[in-house]
Amino acid sequence: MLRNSIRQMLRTPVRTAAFLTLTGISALILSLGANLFYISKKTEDATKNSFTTIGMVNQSPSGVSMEKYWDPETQGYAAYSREQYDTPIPDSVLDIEGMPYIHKPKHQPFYAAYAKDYIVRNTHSEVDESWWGIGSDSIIAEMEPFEDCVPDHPVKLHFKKSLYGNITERMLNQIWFWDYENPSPEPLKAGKTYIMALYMNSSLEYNGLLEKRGFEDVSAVWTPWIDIQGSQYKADGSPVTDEKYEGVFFSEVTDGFYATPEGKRWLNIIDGFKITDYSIPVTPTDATKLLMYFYNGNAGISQGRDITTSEYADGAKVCLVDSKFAANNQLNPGDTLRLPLFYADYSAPACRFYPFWAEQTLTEKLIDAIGNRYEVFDDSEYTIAGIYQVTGGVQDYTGFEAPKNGIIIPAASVRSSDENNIRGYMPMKNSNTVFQIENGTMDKFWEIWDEKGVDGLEITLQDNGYSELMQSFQNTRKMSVILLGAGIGAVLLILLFFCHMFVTKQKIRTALERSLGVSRHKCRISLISGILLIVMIGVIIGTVIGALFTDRVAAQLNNGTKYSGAYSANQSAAAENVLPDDLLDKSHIDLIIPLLTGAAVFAASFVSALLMTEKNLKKEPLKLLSEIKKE
Amino acid sequence: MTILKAEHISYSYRTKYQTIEAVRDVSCKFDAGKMYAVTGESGSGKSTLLSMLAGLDLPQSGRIYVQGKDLAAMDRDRYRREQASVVYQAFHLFPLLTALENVMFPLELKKVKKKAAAEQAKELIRQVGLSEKTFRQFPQMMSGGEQQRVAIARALACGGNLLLADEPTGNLDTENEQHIVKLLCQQSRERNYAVIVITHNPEVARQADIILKMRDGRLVDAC
Repeated sequence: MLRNSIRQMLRTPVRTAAFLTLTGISALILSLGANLFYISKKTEDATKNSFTTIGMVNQSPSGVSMEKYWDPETQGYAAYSREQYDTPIPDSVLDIEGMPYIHKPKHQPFYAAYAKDYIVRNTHSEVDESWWGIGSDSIIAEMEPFEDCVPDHPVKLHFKKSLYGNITERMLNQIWFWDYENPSPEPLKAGKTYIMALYMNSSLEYNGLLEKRGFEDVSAVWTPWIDIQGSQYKADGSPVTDEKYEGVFFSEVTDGFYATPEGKRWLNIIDGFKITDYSIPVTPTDATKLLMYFYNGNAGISQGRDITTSEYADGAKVCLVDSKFAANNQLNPGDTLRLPLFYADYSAPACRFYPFWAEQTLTEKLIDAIGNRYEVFDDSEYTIAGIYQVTGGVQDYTGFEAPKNGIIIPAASVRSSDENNIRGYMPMKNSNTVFQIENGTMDKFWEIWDEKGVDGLEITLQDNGYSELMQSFQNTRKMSVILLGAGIGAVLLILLFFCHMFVTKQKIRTALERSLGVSRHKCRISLISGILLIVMIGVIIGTVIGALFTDRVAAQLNNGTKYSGAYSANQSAAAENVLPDDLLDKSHIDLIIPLLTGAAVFAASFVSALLMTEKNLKKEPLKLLSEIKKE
Repeated sequence: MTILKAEHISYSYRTKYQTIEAVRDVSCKFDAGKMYAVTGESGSGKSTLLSMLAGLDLPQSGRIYVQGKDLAAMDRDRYRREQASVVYQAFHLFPLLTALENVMFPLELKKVKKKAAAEQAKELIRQVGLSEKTFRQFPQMMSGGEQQRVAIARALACGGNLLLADEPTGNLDTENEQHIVKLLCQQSRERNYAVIVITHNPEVARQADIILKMRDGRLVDAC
């Protein structure tokens, strides 16, 4: 039957060739449309998971104040401007109904953890205490004037004892001292001992100030470094101050001085400096991607795994560890790490105090308002989930860099309050307040923000080009839908027309086959088999060509917007890192689509041919023949 | 030997406006080796009778027996494939098959191998008086007489013992009409076929062994 069926089709070669060609073309269009639709859908899904849309919050200054300072060059007062902030706005005001938050805005600090038992430097296996002070030329030492003096010009002091920093090798027993930024310096008495915080101010020579002021024979002048006022803030951001010690950079040392509150304050400051060198920064967050060095692709998990969403939500005691710190301390995923947290800083990102590139941690005063050292407020053991590697961006100076020896923990894992240990505070800034919204909801966010936004806050949203990519996918999707529609329409029309030609109009053949004793079932096979064979050939050719053309068409549709032009210049490099390589491979079609497309066309042919066959098969052969006679 | 026997068969069908009783209570029998002519005016029920005798349709009442077996209980496709074959007025050959392929068609249905089927078909074509050049000709390349001979050859290829012809000479000239009628008579005798010819041509009817006349669906006379 099949042979006869095909033989009869081949005896009308033009019609059969037209059928084959048109079936092939329509299958090609259909296949192209289906492939493009599938690719755009699949790539879009993959993209949705690869991209993160974040927002950063910045409290605008309420104004600018002019601050005066003594200019040692002009010997008069000069002014500089300083941004002023009203009361810090709490992050809770951003909890606005309807916002498509995944992670709500949270004003996050970084914590410092004691790490005495760990190696925290890169080039030295252990902290060499004799180096303290040399790197920054800063010291705390006991000094004695050679004679009564007022240090409104460089005066000679006798170096008696180093309490922090080691200057004896270089400075022998005397230094030049000048309280150069003070219009009315305190007088110093000969024979008295003073504890001073000083740093060697080489800029005085470089800037020519010494020469301008007629001190050509003076070099290596030390000037005041820090005062002994504590640094402490309440949870609402208001400072806790003790103005008594503001600007106090030296104290007279008398018998029993170090047992007095002021003396203890000095010792606590010195202890704090030493502790800084044994501390590591701990960054709490609600998601790894909210940290800009991860978001920008400057860091990635190199060993182990990321902290999971549920671990973040549950506040699990797990952490991610910087690879250098892990290597120096032979830490691996699964190991535990003790993190005694002793202060929180909301003023700046950890990278400002723990620069990734620097050998040394910046020394900061670690005393509270009453002069006590910050004590540990949370002490837990964390299991290392993964180790991350910093691959770039450490010297961008944007505030978004990874810190040295960084540890990342779920914010919810710190269950003790840091309210008495807040050493630094700034209102919400891009570097300390980040949130995540659902991809593709930027317009919705702005719509709600326009209606319910908070005065004094600036929001910056960033999606690493997600919106542009989505637009590109939508273009592809539109094109694929058009092609799909055209393909389906063409397939149906072609099938209906040619099934009519090869089935319905074959009344004589149907009647004859039936009258010669061919059963209805075999007659059906006889009529349909040839059509299906032609359809199969056409579909195979069409879908294969369609599949081959898909990549090219997809590339044309996405040309210029796919992954490059979508980003601003400073984001492009990061975006390349953000996009996983396999995302690009997603544009390749799967075999299943051509197969499904072919199967759909084949099934449609089968059904339409079958339905048309039934029309003639229902009739008795003589009736069919009499219809032909009438026609 | 009686090959086919109809007992009180009736058939009616509905048109848009009326019910037409095409065949009414017809009883007749057909023996092997004889040629029968069924005559009558147009609309007398001849073709409907032939349709039922050929197993293309079943009577609504009455019975048809094929060599004693009730046709209604038989596989009618098989009956048409192996016992009864029909020749039509308009020849009705497969237009896209050659003469040889048309004759091979019923043989292939009976699973005769291609080579043997071709040999048998060629012999049958020769027997109906056509030359070998017609083997590869398509129906539209042949005359009406040639097409009808091929149709008879195809009917013979079924290999049964019953040949039904519906106005087999209706589209032929007198010369061809004579040839075809002669051929049908010859087949009934030489092959022991029961040949039933539906015709309103008295010349054709005259050459039959038995003439059955129909009027208004009834068999009114048998000569």
